[in-house]
Amino acid sequence: MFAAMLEGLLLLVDPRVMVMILIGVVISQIVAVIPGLSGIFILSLMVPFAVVQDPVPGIALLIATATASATGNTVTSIFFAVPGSGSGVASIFDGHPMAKRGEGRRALAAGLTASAVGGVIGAIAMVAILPAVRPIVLSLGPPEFFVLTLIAIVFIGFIAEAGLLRSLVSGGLGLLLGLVGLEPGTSAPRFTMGEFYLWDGIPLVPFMLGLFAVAEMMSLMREGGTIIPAEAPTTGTSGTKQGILDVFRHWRVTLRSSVLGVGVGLLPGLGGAAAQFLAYGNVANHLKGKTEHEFGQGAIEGVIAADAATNSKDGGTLIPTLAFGIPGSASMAILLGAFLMLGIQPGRSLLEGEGLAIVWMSIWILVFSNLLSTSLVMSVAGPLARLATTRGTILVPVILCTCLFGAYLSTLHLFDIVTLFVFGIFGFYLKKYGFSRATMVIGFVLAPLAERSLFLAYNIHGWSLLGRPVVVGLLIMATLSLLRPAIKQQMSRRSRTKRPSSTSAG
Amino acid sequence: MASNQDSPAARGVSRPTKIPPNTGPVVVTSVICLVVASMLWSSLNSSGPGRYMPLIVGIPTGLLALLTLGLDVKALTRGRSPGHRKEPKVEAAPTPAPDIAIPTLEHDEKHALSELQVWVWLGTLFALFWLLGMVVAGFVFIVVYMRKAGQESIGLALTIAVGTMGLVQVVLVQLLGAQVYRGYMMRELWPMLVGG
Repeated sequence: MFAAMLEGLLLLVDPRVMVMILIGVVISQIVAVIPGLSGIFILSLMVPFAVVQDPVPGIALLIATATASATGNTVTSIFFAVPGSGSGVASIFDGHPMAKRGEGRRALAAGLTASAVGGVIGAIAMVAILPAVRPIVLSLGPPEFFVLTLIAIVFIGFIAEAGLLRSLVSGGLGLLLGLVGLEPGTSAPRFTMGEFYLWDGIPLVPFMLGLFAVAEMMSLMREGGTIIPAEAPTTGTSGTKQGILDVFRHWRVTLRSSVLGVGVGLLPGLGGAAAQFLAYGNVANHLKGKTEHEFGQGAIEGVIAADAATNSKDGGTLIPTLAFGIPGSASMAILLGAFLMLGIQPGRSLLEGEGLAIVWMSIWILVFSNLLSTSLVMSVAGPLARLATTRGTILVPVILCTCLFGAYLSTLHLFDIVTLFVFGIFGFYLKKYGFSRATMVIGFVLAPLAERSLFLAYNIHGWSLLGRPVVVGLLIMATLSLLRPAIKQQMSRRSRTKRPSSTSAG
Repeated sequence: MASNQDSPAARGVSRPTKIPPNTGPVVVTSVICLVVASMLWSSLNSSGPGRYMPLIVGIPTGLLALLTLGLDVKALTRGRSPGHRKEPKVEAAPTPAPDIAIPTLEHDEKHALSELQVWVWLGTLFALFWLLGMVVAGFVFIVVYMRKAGQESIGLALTIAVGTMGLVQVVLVQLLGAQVYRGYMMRELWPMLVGG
C-alpha cells in the first residue's frame, strides 16, 4: 500500500503531468466563471485533448479539470448570485448576502478554503474507504437513495423559517417541474404539452440560470446601482485571512459537511447538487439559531458547508467509478469513458497490483488540483471583489449575454433561451413576493432521482422497502434531527418555568 | 366655502395613509395554483405508474398553494376595506425569502428602470438573439443597453462589447469549438439573398 502511494506520487513528478494539471485547472477556472458552463461541459471539451496523450498525463488533465471546475463556481455564486452550475447554487444562499454586507472576500476565502479542505478530506476518505467500499456500496440500493433525496428536500424546506409556507410551495412546485419529461416506468411523455423538446425534461442549466442569474439581473435593472454596494466596508486582506480561519474555527461544520459530501458521492447517481443541499440542510438544521447570522442571510457556516461538500464529493464519486466502473455522476461517466479510451480498465484490476499506483496518482491529483485552484482564485480575490462593485449598467448586459450563451450550450436548442427567459421572469417575481427559489431548484434537481429510486425500490421490494434497516435508521435520524430544535426549545421552556417555582419555594 | 383652516391638515388631523393594494402576491400565487392544478388534472387523467409521484407531490403542494392564496387575498382585502385606518397587517407578507434578500443598496434613481422597461429590454435581447445570433446580438445589445439605459460613453460600451464577445468568439468558439446560435438571418435569409 505504501509502495503504491509512493509510486503514485512519483508519477506526478513527470513535467508533462504537472503541465496537464496546470492546464486543466486554469482552463476550468476561466470557463467556470461563465454562468451555465458546468464541469460537464468543460470536461467534455477536454476529452479530445486528453485521449491523445499518454495515459498518465491524460488522466491528470481530466481529473484536474473535473476537480477545479467546482472551485470556479464559488466566485460567481458569491459575488454575482449566478450559479456556474447546479452544484454552485447552495453557495449563493449565504455567500451572496455576505458579499452584499461587504464581506465578499471573507465569504470567498472561506468557500475556497472549505473547498480545498473538503477535497483533501474526500481524497483521504477515498484512501480509507477503498478497501471496504464494495460491501458499503452494495448494501445501499434504491430505497436508501429515495430516503436520502427525501431528507435533502425536507431539510431545506424546514430551514426557510421566515417563509415556511411559501418555501414548501416553491419546493413542491420545483418537484413537479422536475417530473416533466418521460416517466421512468413506461417512458411515456408526461407534462410535455406535445413538445419533443420537453421529453428530456426541462433542462437544468437554462432553468437554473433563469431563476437565479436572469432574475438577479432584472432586480438590478429595477434598482439601478451595483450588485454589491460600492460604499460597503471592504475587509481587504483581513477579510481573506478571516475567511480562511473561519474554516478551521468551524472545524466541526467543515468536517461534518465533508463527510456528508463523501457519503453522498459514494452513492452513484446522486451527484454534486444533492451533496451540497444535503450537507447545507443538515448543518443549517443542526445549527439553527446558534449562528451570528441566520442561514440564508449570510451565515459563514452556510458557505463552509456548501463548498466543503461540493469538493469532498469528488473523492466519493471517484470510488465507485474506479472500483466498479459505476460512474457516480455525469462528470464521472465522461471520465470513465475517457479512462477506457486511455486503456485503463476500472474494477478489481485497478485495486490490485500496478493499477493501485494509478488510483493513488488520482488521489494525489485530487489534492494538488484542489490546492492549486484555491490558490489561483484566492490570488485574484481582490480584483474579483472589485469587479462585483461594477455598475449594473455594465454588468447587466454582459451577464445576460453570457447567460444566453451558457443556456444555449446546454442542448443547442433555441427553446433553451425561451426557458431561460420564462424562468428568469418567474424567478424575479418569486423573489419579489417572498417565495424561495432555493427550495424550488432543490426540488427540481432531486425530483427525478427521488422518483426513479422510488419506482425501482417499489418494483424490487414492494412496500417492505420501508422496513429495510438502513431506511429505518435514516428516517429515524432525519426525524430526530428535525425535531431536535423543537425538543430542545420545549425542554428549556420547562426548565425556565421550573426555576421560578423552586426559588419561590426556597 | 370651506376655508383652508378647515382642512384636516390645518386642524392637525392626520389622514390614514392610503396604501395602494398590492395584487402582485395574489397573481403569482394564482399562477402557481393554476400550474399545480393543471399538472394534477393531467395526472388524474392518465393511467400507468407515472401518475403516482405527481399526485404524491402535487396534492399537498396544491393545498399549501391554496392556503397561501387565501392568506394573500385576505391581506389584500384588508388593505382595501373602507375606513381602514391601520396599516394593513399582511400575514402572508412578501418578506424576502431567506435565500437571497432584495438588495438593500442605495437606489440609483438615474439608472433604475421601470418593470415595463425591463420587459422591453428582455424582449429586445431575445429578438436580437433570434435574428442576429449569439455573437452579433451580444455585441449590439451590450452597446445599445450601455448607451441607452446606462448613459455610458460610446468608447466604454464598445470596449466592453468587443471584450466580452471577443472572449466568447476566440476562446470558446474558435479554441474550444463550442457551438453558438447563428441567428435566423444568417441561417435562413442570408443564403436566400446570396443564392439569389
